[in-house]
Amino acid sequence: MSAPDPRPVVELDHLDVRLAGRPILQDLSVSIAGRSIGLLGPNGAGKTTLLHTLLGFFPVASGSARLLGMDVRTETRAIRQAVGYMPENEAFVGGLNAVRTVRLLAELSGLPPEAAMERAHESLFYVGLGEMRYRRVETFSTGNRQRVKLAQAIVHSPGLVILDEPTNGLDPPARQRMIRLIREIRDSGHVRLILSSHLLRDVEECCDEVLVLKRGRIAAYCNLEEERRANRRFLDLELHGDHEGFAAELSRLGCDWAASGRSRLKVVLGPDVTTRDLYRVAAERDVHIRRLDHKRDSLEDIFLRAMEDEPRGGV
Amino acid sequence: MAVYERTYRPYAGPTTAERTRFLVIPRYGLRSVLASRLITLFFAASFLPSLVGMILIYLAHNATLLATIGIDVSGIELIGPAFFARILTIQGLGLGFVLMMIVGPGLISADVGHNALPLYFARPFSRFEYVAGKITVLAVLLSAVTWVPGLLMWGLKAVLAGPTWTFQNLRSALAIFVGSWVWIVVIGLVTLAISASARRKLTAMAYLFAVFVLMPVLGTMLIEGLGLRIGWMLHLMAMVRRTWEALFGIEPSVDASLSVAWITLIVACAVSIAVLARKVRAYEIFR
Repeated sequence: MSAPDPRPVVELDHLDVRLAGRPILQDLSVSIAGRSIGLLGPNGAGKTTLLHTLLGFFPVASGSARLLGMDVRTETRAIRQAVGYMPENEAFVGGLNAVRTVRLLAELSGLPPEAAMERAHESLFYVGLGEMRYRRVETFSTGNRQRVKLAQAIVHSPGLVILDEPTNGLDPPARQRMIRLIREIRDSGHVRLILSSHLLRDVEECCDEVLVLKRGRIAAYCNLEEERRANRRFLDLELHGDHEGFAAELSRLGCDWAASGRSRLKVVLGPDVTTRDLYRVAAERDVHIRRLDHKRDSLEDIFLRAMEDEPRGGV
Repeated sequence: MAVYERTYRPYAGPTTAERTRFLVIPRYGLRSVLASRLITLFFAASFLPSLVGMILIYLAHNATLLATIGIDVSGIELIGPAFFARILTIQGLGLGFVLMMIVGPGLISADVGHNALPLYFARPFSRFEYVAGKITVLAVLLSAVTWVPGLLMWGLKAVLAGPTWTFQNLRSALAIFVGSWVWIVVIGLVTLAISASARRKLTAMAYLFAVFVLMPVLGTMLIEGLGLRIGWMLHLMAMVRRTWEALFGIEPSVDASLSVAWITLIVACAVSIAVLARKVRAYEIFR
């Protein structure tokens, strides 16, 4: 695995985007350096507009936006050289088979014809279309067309792959295959990801950081990796017996706790405390632990909170 | 790496020069076009008028020899600007136009219809390069049926007729070359603009037919019915012909001034470029 690129993937500074006179994105400010970034939001939140702005398809009205440290206004060509893009809607070059489609697009990214041909075959095998690569893309199912789009997005070996609703229109097995592929690409260590979706599970399974958009503004930002780490030590206990004595013993061990109801405790474990210690203390105090949950703020909780709250201007 | 080894690996090889990258489009485009036997046959048939022209030139220069075997070719002795203009008209405005009707409409409409433009423009490849690549497809095909055979024909005549004729008729060679490019640029831009405005090839064909066939009919009605000479501006082919006749220095067959002809062609190109600038983009912004 190569050394991680220290540059932030996305840097937005009071970014405003207006299309046909209407404000679509307003006052977005954020800097994200994660390996895989999720863009979440309901339909119409501005996810795709943000991606298109980062790719230079839509103009910046005010503020600034940088992708991999490059200004989207002045360094569009360099950005497009470094990025692979899988669009949301169905998109393919008519009349060509899968190999020729991917090869053509690789050549447009600057690969010489022979290398483009080799990479096209490799990419199609990689996404699982090896046996179908000489079929015209028009004849493919939705799932296979999605995979051709993924193959063309990675064929030129970009440093960042932008995936816009990659599981759109896929049945559950096809969705699972697509998610597995995306995770493989992410775990290869060569590529960073931006994944836009309105499906929480897609984002949760593939991303480390999540930006939630709502009505063109940032509604929440969350580092899922840190959340997962933090929540690993957060327990929800249901007890029977001397729960006050049990809690006092936990304090002595260095745990924070809070009572939530007559027989329930929320506990944040101390640095050297494990769940085994809790069972030991419970046995010493003759307390029965009836239930023990590793409580975590799920992405769904975070998303729902963000949808209820008033949007924030920046993170 | 063997293709069956399913791992992702980065590419670390050389890349091609950015300034020549647009040539990828005509390479793929021409291969697709010539994959059709019908188009290839028609394309080959487009050379027939030039071939006939060359035979006539040859016969005209061997009149004495042919007379000895009883063939009189005295009627084809006058090979000059009008002769070349006539062959160019048949090849360019006739067969070349039909070729454009077959090939041109699908060039951009296929990409628009299949939503392929974001795939092109998400790469280090500009809209200008895309249009340049597409127009190159048309330019190669039209060149092959206009100025290339035209200049070959002129060259044959020059070889057979000698330096005096050659120097006296340099203007014809220039007219063949410049006239052909005027037509290539005009029909290329108009065809691409129409192709970019439609999502289906058949629709684009219908638009092209309307611009080059129905609009001239309307123009003729305006000129002859209402006496409005502005009707000439709806007759693109006639205006191209008017410029050719001026370039060859022969009597105009069209009752329109040269300035009107040039203005019409320039306006057609400008409108086409404006349409292309609006339509050829990754995503259209709807108001």
